[in-house]
Amino acid sequence: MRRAVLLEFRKMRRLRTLPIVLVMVVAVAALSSASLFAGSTQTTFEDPAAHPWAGLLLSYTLMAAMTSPILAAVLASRQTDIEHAGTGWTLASIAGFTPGTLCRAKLAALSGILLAAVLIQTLLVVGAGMLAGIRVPLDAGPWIGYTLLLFLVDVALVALHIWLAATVENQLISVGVGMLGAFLAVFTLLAPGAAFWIAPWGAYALISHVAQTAGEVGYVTPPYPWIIGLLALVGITFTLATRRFNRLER
Amino acid sequence: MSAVITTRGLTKTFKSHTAVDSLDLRVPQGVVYGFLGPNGSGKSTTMKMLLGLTRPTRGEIEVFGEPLTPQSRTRLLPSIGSMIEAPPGYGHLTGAENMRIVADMLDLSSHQVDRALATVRLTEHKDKLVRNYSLGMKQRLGIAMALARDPSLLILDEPTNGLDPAGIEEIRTLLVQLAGQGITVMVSSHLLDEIDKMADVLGILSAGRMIFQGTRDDLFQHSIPDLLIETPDPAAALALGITATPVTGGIRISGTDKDQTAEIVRRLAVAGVPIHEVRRIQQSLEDVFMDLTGRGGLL
Ligand SMILES: Nc1ncnc2c1ncn2[C@@H]1O[C@H](COP(=O)(O)OP(=O)(O)OP(=O)(O)O)[C@@H](O)[C@H]1O
Ligand SMILES: [Mg+2]
Repeated sequence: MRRAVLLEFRKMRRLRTLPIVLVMVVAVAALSSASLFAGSTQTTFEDPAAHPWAGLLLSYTLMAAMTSPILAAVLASRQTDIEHAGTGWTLASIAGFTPGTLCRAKLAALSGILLAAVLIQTLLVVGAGMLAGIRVPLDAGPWIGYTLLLFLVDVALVALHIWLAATVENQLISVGVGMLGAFLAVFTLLAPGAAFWIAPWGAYALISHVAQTAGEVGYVTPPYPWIIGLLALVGITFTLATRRFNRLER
Repeated sequence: MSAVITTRGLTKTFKSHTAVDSLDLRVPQGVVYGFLGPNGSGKSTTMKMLLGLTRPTRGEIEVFGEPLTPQSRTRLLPSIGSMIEAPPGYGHLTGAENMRIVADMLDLSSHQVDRALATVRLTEHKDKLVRNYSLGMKQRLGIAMALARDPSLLILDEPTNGLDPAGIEEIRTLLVQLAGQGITVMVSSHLLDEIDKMADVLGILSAGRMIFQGTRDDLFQHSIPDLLIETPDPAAALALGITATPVTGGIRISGTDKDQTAEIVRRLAVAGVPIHEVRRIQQSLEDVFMDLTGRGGLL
């Protein structure tokens, strides 16, 4: 398996995976912190009761929900499409690597990249907050919790998209689903009650550590059982699906 | 000669359509085995089953004397080089990077990779993106990928597809040379002409069934060439009631064995028809092949 993951990194060369991730990370960080530089926001920077960090986390949550489904779709689709185009499934199979192994290795490799990306993204947003002059101390708990869950939900989505890209050869479908997902993720953030029903994209709303009630932004505890349940479901589905790929004849 | 591949009753059915029907394949060691058949006759499907890429519906496969199972397959794969249908290769990577991936999958040395690239004469193009390769170059890269592991068995599905005549000749020479080193080569084609010159043993498939398996000479013996009798008086010969086609300078008779030939010659001589020459028409293997596949087989 370790070898299969290293192979995925080799294949990633010239796939522009890193530049795409980098552009996305910077864009999300920039959009999330854009409001920091508006005059009306700056008046809250020294007032703990105004929760300036929570406000920033809310706009980060919104931007992440808007972009992550597309990023997951693009990364998974690019990394998987090459196997269709280059008869890579067969090439790997005659060297003893099953299609299921290939998919799992892709998930592992992309997860590594996503972990770094999400961490950098959060650090950039926090950095922007400090740079803009937020004087209230940072509420580390929700930020760490959100970053971790965002990473896990991203991994789950990449898993589903690898499965989709491996099953449906036309990658327009894959990317199209990603775009639709982004729309749904934002929609569920604005109408939280619907989040459970629009799995898996609703997860981007479920993991939110902040909420806006009556114009006030405040921290909330996300529904962990639901989130864990959803992640477990995706995990089981991916395991079973990749096992089925091993028996599939191409 | 021991067999490297043996199958018994190998069958593959897709839904109701039987693509490969009760195949008893025997590929002897160290030969070039030409696997022939028209489009859709089941060559690729058979090769996929031999490589464990497709599960047989029925029948047994033995490779290097071992029954093919998921366990034995993992053990055997490193010594089997293969290319099935389209040549593999990641278009966004260079030839060398593709080879590096194959090398990493199988723990091959850079020496093995370099030698394989040199063998198919791709060394000077190895740093080009595979996306920009010509069809022939892609085909060569696929063969290099199969060769890099120093296989004892090579299974190549239409490796000369898309190559120009010089390229075809080169692959032919290469395969004969590899067989000379003791490597067993199984190579498929739908053109007899391509394989005829290199194959020691031929297996001919038609609609999923093996209609012939044996040497080239065996194949000729199965099919009797037409008899040509040169005479200045074909009308007199035909008047004797011999079933024949008049041709310039004589008559042509098909399907006669040695005894029948003797009898015809005797009758012509008795009737006083002048005979200038009696001979068999040199038959091309292509004719034999068309004859076999068209007629549905001898076996
Ligand atoms: N996955 C599949 N599902 C259904 N039918 C299939 C499948 N693969 C092959 N077949 C059928 O099996 C038959 C044999 O196909 P195969 O590809 O083995 O032929 P072939 O001899 O390799 O032909 P060609 O010279 O065109 O490559 C064809 O009728 C084909 O339609
Ligand atoms: Mg074929």
